[in-house]
Amino acid sequence: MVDFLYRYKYYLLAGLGSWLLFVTQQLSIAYRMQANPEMVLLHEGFGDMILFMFFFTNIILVRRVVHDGKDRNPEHMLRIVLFTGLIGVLAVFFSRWYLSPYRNTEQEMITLPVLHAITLLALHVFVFTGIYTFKKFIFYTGTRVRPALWTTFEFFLGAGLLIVFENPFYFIPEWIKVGLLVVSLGLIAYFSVFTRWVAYLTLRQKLNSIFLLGMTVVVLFFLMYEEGVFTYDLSSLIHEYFFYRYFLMGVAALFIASYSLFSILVLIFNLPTGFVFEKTRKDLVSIQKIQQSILPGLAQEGAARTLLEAAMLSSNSSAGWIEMEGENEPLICHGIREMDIPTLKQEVNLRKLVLKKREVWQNQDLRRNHLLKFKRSNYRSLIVLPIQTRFTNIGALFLVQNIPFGFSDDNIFVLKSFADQAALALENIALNVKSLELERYQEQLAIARQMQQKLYPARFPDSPYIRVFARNQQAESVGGDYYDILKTGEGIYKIIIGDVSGKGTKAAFFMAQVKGMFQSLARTTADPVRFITLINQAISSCMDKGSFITLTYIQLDLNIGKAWIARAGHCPTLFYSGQEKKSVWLIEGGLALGVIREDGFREYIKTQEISVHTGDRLVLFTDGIVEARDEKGEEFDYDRLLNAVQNGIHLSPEDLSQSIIQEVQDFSGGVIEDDYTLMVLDITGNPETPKSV
Amino acid sequence: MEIAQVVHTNFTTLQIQGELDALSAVGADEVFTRLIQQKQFNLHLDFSGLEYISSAGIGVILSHQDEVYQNKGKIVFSGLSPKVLNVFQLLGLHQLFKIVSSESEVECCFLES
Repeated sequence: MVDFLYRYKYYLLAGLGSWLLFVTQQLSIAYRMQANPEMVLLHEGFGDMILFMFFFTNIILVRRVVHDGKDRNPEHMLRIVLFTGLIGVLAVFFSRWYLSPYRNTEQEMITLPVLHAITLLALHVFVFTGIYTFKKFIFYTGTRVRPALWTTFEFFLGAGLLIVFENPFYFIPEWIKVGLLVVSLGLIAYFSVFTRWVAYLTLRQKLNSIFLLGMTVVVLFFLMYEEGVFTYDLSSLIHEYFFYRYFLMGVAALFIASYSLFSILVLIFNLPTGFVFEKTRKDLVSIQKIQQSILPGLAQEGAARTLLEAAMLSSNSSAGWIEMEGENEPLICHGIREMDIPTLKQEVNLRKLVLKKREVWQNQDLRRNHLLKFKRSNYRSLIVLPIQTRFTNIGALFLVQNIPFGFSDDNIFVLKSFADQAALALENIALNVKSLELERYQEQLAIARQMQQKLYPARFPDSPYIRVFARNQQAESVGGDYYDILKTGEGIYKIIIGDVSGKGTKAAFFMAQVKGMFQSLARTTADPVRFITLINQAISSCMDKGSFITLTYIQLDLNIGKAWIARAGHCPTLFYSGQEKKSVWLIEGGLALGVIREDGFREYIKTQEISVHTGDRLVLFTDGIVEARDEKGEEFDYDRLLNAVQNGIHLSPEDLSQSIIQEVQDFSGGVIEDDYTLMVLDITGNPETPKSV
Repeated sequence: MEIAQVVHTNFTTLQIQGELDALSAVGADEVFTRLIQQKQFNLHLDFSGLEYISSAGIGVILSHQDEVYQNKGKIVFSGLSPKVLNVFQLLGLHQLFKIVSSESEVECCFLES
């Protein structure tokens, strides 16, 4: 309220000021007449000016306020009009009661003009609130009235306002007044037809609007009565209100009355269609509800229940149920006992039928048609709707009614859209459940990956005699590559690199087993052949046929400057001799693990013995490196790797690893798609002459 | 990958063309399984048309070799390209299987037994 007053302060001040001026002027006349009853009331141009200002400022104020109103609900707008009118009525009543002691006294000459001014103000504000509200109705969504017509109407009203200035010395020609009146009345009649807003109301809003409009007319008549309109005889009434100073008031009141009464008629005629509108609206809300049941967290049954309730409500069915594809019992039923259902559809599986034909099945005269047997004879109409999307059959919706031909085509049309909506919802729910499961799997995989990362050595043995660096990548979450290094004595190291055939989880499990065995066997088993044989024995029993593991096991003893290398089907190790400045492949053969699962395996493994010195380098890797392919399908291969190592002899193990991987990546066009591991080991000293690089 | 089957008096030849990778390994496995069910334990694998073999492809052969040897059968390879031969040598499979360089030697291998 305060906000309202503040916002329109200038308009309100102007309105109030002009009204007070008007009251003052009226009072001054009254006092002068009291003082001199013989006074001949001469016309005062000044008074006309005040009346004009009073009318004009009020119109501008009301126009502004109504125009700014944001509420588009016709019912609310009508309430405001009526409210304005009722405040006016209250003001009139109050002032009459307050001034009643002066009735029939000498003072009455003074009180009457005040009472008149209040009534005039109330009537004026009310009528123009009505006009500008009705303007909004006339231009309601979708009407095709030209705004220019309204401007014309306002222009004529404005011109009519000038009639105020008519006085004994200055007459406005009669034909102008008639012209103004005719055009105004014509426009009023024209505008009264535009009542499209009625169509947007609900049934309840329509009933309310009829009441509000009726009351508006009553208030209008009351205020007109108070204003004294009906004390005139007809011809002077017409003269005063259409051809003299109150022209504007007359036309405006006529507009209010005309538009209100016409709207009431339209509303009454529209009441029956209101029921249809209501139903359509409810159907729309139902579709929305079904759509909302797609939201995660809602179970399949919830969506099905929403569908059944909406469908039964919309078609006015007495019972219904939903059967899901692949289940014998109905998912939910309503208005019918589950045990009664089979008797109704005994002879034919209607669910399968509608899903196959992709159309609605209906029998609207069950009593005549003996296709179906049913216990309860009061079911007369049955329709079955398929619930299916383009690719998935979900189920069927059954609805029954107690009257024959209970389902109209219109019903069926709406029900179909319900079923289609529900099909989407139900399918989405199923997809949601699936994606949740998938998410859980992914979580588990992420855990597996974390666990596997822990299987790789976090750091290499801190040693003055060797320097190691390794890089490893898994193509999937987990992989089958493995490497490790263990210090088992002063200057004695066990090194392993391996690759389980295949990728993913299965490979990762075997890799974990190899890790366990390496950590336990490497400490106790000096002989590489024995080590590999033991692993083969242990692991073969649990590997499926066709899977195999390749690995290279190196025992390095820097005390005596020797290394024993056993290769079980794994990529050969590259050995760079610092003295000869030459790289050689350690290719001494051996069979992969898991190929031969009995004792004979031992014969296929040989150990290669080499002498190692400070400045020597071992490069171990898995097939992801040498089998990386370029776009032509050519493999990176051993020669390129050898060259890379040879070119990088001056590099540290870290830098060499980085440069090799960079080269392989460039070769294969950015990414290495397979699992790979690369390990570079430098011999930097021995226990007798530590750190003599 | 394509597999052609030629039945000889005392052995069966499988001519494998193209790439034997994880995808085609499934088809190859079916062929091997069927032959072993038919008690064909003397197998000659003609790899002259084989361009590439992956670990899954090797796995198919390995998964059946057990049964072949238990039944006194034999697997003989011929026509290995240098690349495929390299894979075999790397995995140590040349110690396990008979690998011959020319077609004419194949028959002799089966005559010995």
